[in-house]
Amino acid sequence: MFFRFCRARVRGEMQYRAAFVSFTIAQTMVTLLDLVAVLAIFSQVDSLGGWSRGEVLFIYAVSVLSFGLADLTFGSIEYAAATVMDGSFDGFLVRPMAVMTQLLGNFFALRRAGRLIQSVVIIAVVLGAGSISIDGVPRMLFAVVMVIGGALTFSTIFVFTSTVGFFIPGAREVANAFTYGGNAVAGYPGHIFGSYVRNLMLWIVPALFVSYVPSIYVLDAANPLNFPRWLQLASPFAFVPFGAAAGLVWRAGVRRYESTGS
Amino acid sequence: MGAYWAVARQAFRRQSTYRAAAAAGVFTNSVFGVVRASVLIAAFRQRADINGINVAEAVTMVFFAQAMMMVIRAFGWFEISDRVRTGEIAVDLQRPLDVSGYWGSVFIGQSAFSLLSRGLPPFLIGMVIFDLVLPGNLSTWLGSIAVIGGAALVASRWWFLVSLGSFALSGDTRGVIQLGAMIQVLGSGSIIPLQFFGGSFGTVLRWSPFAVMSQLPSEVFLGLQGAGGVLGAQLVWASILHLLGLAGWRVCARRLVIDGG
Repeated sequence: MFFRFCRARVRGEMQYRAAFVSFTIAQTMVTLLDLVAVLAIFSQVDSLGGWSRGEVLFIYAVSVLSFGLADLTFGSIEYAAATVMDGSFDGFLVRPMAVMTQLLGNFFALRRAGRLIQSVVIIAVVLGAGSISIDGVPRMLFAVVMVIGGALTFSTIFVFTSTVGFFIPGAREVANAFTYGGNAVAGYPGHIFGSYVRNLMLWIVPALFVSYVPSIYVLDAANPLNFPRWLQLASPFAFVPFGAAAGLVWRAGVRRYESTGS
Repeated sequence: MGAYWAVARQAFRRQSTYRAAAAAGVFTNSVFGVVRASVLIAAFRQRADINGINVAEAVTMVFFAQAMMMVIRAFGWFEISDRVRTGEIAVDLQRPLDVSGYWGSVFIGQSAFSLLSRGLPPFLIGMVIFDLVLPGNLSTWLGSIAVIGGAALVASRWWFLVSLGSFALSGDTRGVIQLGAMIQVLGSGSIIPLQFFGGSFGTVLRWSPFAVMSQLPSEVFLGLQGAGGVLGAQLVWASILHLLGLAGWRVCARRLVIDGG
């Protein structure tokens, strides 16, 4: 049923091809700006917190890829707050189907895929240029697990932050600061941040578990904060505790929702 | 002149009704400021001086840029393009005011409110967390205020010009605005100070109209530049963009067809 929703949405998008193309290009370029910043820094210095250009580009690309996958599947949850405000949320409650499935299907947008293409290109270029190496099959397999786990972690962040809309309508911008701030932090070696930002982005918003902590293992990179190996390997599963919490808040939010409509 | 002043004041007051959005925006700008500053501090551990600036100056530039982002609308300015899409632009044509002047006044009014509500607080938060460099004398303060005003003026002319692109691509307006925002954000040093772009690319950006919207004003604030030269460059760019905007507007207004009954 979810996929039937998606197919219908994609057909709809393709009716406005010019808008689809321009949005995709615009989104790709917004992400490219962050890449420009990383490259500009490495045009002046040759390491950042003890990590080389190839290593930083790798964790940046992994975080973009994870964010892109999460955005494509769960990103449309951000409209939940808007439907609460304009009243159309009522419609989702009366249909015999999970609210989440309806929301995600209803607002699915293939144009969100622009990020994915770009991050795959960066990973390919960085690996192809030989500036980093992933040694051994276990590390390569773990890299795949890391991307999937990272996508799930970002998805739980989306669900969690969008739930703010149920409690404080109109506070979506605060939610965005966590989502996009988390995205901005996820692409850098976490130890360059002060302890407040770092702890926030590890234990409240698990953004640094998306790419930075697991990449210490994948790339065998410098680990000045001495994250233990078990934590590096457990990082892709950071979404489990956080997702459970997000799920509870989401349910409480839906239950708490009272229609204002006539 | 009195009418334009009234329009700007109304825009200022209209903006002030969105208090929750402003508070949330302050939070977002502060978070991004802290993230960008932390990254630059890590870079300066490798080199004490990057093309003439030190770490304190670079961190100040980051928060100055965050403060300017809503003043120059680095996330895009959709007022005119949204009205073109809905057809409401027809109403503007009937006003006994020059269209470019009317929208310029709206922009300046909004910018003034944004500077106080969304620009100043993140900068103060930056001052609490990091050691920021402040002007040492009154004339630098006055010069900084002048070039911040100049930046808003140039930005108002830039967004009027970009908005005209939405006439050419009616129905598909957001892509044009977003493209305009990206060029502006990169060229104004809002993503990273222009000192990080060496070579001819950096030189081209410094001489672009975007540098006068945030990068060069931040250098005035830090005392690295005199206010006079930057103010002159801002007036030249504002005039050029204004004349381009007027020429473009004449073409667009002639071609404008309002749909609907």
